[in-house]
Amino acid sequence: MSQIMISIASEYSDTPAGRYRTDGPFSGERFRDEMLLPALRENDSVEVNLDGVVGFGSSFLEEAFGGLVRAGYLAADLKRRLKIRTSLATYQSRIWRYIEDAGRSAHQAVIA
Amino acid sequence: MSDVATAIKDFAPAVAWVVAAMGWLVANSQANKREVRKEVRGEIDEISKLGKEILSELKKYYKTSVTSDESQQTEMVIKAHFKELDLRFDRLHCRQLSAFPSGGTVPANDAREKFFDLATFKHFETSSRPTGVELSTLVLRQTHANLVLTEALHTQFLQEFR
Repeated sequence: MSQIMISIASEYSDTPAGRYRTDGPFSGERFRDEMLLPALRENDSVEVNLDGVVGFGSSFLEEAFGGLVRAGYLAADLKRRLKIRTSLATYQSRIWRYIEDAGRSAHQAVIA
Repeated sequence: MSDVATAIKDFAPAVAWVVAAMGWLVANSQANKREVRKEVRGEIDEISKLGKEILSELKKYYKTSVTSDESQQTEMVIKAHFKELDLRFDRLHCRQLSAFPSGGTVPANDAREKFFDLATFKHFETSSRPTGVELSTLVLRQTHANLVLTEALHTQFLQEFR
């Protein structure tokens, strides 16, 4: 069972910012497309370490993690395969909230 | 009569010790409670202050031009303030007080998430800035969300220490 760990601060940026690529060089969209999605494709389990970052805006977190659902992953599958490591408990619950909200939005879109 | 006198004489020192120890225990527990109350009150006051600072920085942020250094600096300050706010919240949760549970939904947690989302969701760190009615509505909503957050914290404080 392969597992990979990604540290946002040391492997991406300690000042990640913005939702889309057009919003800056270290956006949530770019992090998701270039780091999270390949890691999920190639490994059974992915651990993301959030420590060391100055702070996150919801736009970055929602696009990076909620965007995984829009990219085709199920929230339940992510619950099993994605681990969030952070010394700040709030970030963890926030990320799962964005994933679940994205899952609900996707579900409603299917029903509609 | 002399037996009673003897008994009092024999046990009086022990009884005095027990009474003194009980008195100390009660005083100590009340002092601890007062100390926790003071610390929680201090934490809530700091969170309220941070909320106001975030609001002030947000107002400044909406006036900055998209590509300016000031814009990026203000974004950073806002994110750092939110991180400090989250840390202070986590510290409140670590105290294991019944009105400040670490899990589940309590009004202050909901209010904080709403405030965070309103402040950093749509226009934050993007190349767009709200203007006109959209800006005033957004600022009003953010101000209200911060007010709800402060109120919720004070209510939970009263629930814990009434």
